[in-house]
Amino acid sequence: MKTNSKLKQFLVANARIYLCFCILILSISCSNDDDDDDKLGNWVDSSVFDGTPRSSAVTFTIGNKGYMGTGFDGDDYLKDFWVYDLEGNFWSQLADFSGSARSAAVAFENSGNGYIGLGFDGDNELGDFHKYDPANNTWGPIAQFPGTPRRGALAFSSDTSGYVGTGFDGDNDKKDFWRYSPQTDSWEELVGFGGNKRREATTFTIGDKVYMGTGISNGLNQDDFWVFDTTSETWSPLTDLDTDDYDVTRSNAVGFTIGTRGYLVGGDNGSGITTSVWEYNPDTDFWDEKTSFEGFTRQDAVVFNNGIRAFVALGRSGNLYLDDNWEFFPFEEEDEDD
Amino acid sequence: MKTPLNYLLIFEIIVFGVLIGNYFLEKEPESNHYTKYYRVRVKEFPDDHGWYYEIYQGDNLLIKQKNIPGARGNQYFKSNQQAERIALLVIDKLERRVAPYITKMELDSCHIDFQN
Repeated sequence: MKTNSKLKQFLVANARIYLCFCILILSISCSNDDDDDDKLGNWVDSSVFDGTPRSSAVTFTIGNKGYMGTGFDGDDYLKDFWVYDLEGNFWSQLADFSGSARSAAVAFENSGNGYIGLGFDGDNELGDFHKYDPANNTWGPIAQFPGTPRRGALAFSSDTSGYVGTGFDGDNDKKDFWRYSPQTDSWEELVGFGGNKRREATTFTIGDKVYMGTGISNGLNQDDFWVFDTTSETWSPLTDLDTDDYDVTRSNAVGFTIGTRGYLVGGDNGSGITTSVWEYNPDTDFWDEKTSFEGFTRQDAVVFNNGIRAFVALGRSGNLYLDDNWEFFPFEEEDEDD
Repeated sequence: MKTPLNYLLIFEIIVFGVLIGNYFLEKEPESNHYTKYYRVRVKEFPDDHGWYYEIYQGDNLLIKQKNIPGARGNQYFKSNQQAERIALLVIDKLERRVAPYITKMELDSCHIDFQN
């Protein structure tokens, strides 16, 4: 009998231990996935140079190569230029930009070449434009931008032309748009944009449509949203960015495309710098919120985007200039350990 | 109460403790020095028109520098010593956590053959 009761005591104590550990393990594993989330999207850390920050740089992407250069590191305006290999996750330094060192420039890609211009050199807004030839690793000036020299402008392209518009010329925010024709090396003004003047706006391109919105003027984030049809070169208004269902308005954000959806990341939403990420569906003209950016909050970042993959890198958070690089996977669940 | 069964209970608690402790230790990110360590590999182009370098951070290729950095055109290092000199300068910058770009002035002062 005595051994029996001891055995019983042992079994009860044993069961308690197991129960305690089971509860402990359950509570640990559950605490990992209780945050937000019915939102989709995952951000994965990629390669960049530790401790070498840069904001307001420019980028253009050709195939699997992301080209990045110029910008401001908190002390100096920069003119070095780099290429990031999206497949191999490594960098190479290219020929220096042929214009003066600057930040807040714009870039677009056309027929395998990159075009960079405008910006701010610390004293003045700039109006020059330069062409980069990746095959020969050379830079050369092209025709001067005919609008007022400016920074914080927009640039995008079609198969045949580049388009540049909006921005801040030192006195005023702008709403003019210009078309650059590489064949004739000439600029021509495009009329017909009915939106507000602005600086630090964002675009993303889905097929032959360019979606344009956000940005700021006179301290107010602009809420109008437009689509530009590159075949007919006409602007059409879409649903505002500030509705009862969502508020996507912001400035100094980045925009990119993955598949048939457009994305807006980061920027200043008026009450501060945000990590929020929104997905635009052109079929429904509606925005959905995705998993927030996993790096620091930021503005003036850059994005490498070839329509299939997107990497958001660099930028600044207040006076902290950033040095990281994150790839976005819009249809994956968030994983904080990658 | 001092029976072998009690010792068995204590033993079980220790085993579970160790198992759970291990679980947390394994979740700690690997922060060994190796991943922060930069090294260089200088290589010759197969058709011997020059030399280039690769810089690794741990096992990961960080920079693959085929053209002479900052110089215009597709110019390549004329010798492995010249490639290595610039690669070591880049590593020095990475270790000091300054932007690892190379200027034309630095190419000159390192006696690199290139056309401006």
